[in-house]
Amino acid sequence: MLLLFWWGVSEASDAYRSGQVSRESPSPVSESDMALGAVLMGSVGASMLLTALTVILCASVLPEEFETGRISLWAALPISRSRLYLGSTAASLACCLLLGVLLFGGIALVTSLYMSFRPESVAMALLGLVAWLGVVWAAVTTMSMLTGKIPAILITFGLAGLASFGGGFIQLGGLVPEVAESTVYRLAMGFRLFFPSDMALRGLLFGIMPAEGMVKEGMAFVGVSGRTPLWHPLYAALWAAAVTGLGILRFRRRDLP
Amino acid sequence: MIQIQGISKSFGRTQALDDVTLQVPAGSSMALLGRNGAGKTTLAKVVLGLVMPDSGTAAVGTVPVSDPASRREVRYLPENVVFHAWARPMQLFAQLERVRRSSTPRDFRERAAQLACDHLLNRPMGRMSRGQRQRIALSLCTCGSPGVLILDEPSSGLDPEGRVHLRSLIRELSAGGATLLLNSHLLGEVESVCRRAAFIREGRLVGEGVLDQLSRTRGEVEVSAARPAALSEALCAGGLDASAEEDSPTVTVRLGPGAPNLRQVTEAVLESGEDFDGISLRRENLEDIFMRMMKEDGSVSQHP
Repeated sequence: MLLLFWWGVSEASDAYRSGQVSRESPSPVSESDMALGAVLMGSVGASMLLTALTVILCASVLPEEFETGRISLWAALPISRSRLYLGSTAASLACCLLLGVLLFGGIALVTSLYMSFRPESVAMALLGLVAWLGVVWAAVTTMSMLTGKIPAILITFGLAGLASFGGGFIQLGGLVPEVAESTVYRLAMGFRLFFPSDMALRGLLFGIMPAEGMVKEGMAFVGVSGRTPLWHPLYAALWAAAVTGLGILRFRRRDLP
Repeated sequence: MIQIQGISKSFGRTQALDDVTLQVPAGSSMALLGRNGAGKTTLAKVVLGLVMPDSGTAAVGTVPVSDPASRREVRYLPENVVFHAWARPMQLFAQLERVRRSSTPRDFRERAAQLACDHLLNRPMGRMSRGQRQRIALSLCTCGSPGVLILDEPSSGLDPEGRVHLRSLIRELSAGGATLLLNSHLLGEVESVCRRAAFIREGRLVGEGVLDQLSRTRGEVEVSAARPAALSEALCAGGLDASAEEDSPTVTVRLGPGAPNLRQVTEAVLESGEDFDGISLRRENLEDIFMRMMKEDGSVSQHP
């Protein structure tokens, strides 16, 4: 995937530099806007892949431990339920984070060979990645304990999809005042606080965006702005921590098979 | 010592445990016996802190089971645990020891050798038979010097040789001072390794104590004779209710008005003039005690 991405970006960059893409085209774009587009296209695929992987992988961990009776074997050891919960489920989050660093890091790296990035945004990108996957992981892990594997997968996919749609709508509302006055916009604003995966994902995308990326109205439809406030990924990270806390609380009180 | 005080637990409308009070003295071996679904496993899980009771308290030593420290000395073998197919026994041992820190790889290898499964230590669990996996699980559970052992159907899947190894292992651990709580339906196995038993019926403790003291006489005297048929005839002629068992040197005499106790049966046997090797009151075996406990009504019978 990264190789294909690298090929696409290099071809586009060469075409631009060789004049095949005119600066005087009807809709003039800067070099960094092209990078933004490249990041976007790569990121959409990467984020979908990573969301699916995180949801499916993390939804399986606890139900499988319960089904096989392994959880009782571990719970009978002298460790607290909190440690057991985190020990059983954190490995799957770590795997997804590693893959996230490889995918998004790769996208940023390949793009940076041709277009400039804000180096100071690396921290935002990392925070966004951790918060985004943390939200998905916390939600699906806790849900899997309450509902079982398949309902947890379906519900989390549904929530992530709605969050993504709502995020795009909010971006559009930032550019088009009529949209910002609609009920759907207000619902989307509320929903992003209820399930903030998209807020964190935008933090990640903002982190790996080129320095001078301009946002056009059209871009808002795919849901990326040139700015993401720091509190968005921070809120998402806190949300993930709070839901994990609720999961631990439930796990501590439940009977094990 | 394991102390269980007034434990009740229900799952929905099902009362799994009803006011169970039980003590397992330190260093003793106790079997939990009862029908399927009686509440034995639930009780064991309460002791392990896996199941939260609705009421009552449980402690290992003086530490309540809600405290993870209560499990510092405890080893648990669940029934039918399924390990990852790719996991190898040495990896599993390393994972467990990262938490319990109470035995060495050498202890594990020695225990595996005792259970004749040391050649499997680097083989993935998915490539073992059920019995082999059970031997590995037992080795993982019992390696080193565990203080308290809670074994749920430990002989499940084991071949006869494996069961012999298991019995010898349990006796060795008990002799070493380990406290044992055994959940098994194989009464022969229980009888050979446990001194005490607790009987649970529909969530209630209906009997508990030392097996020898729980055993009642069955109202029969067993006489081992050289000529059982002749002895039986002679005793019947004397008014006793006797019968010779087929293909066995044993004559069974039922106690009754003609011979109400062992002494009078002995006198009648002596008077018959027949040779005999031994004479004894027939007592209940564990199966008899189990069947009685499952039928009897009333309060807990205790035999300390």
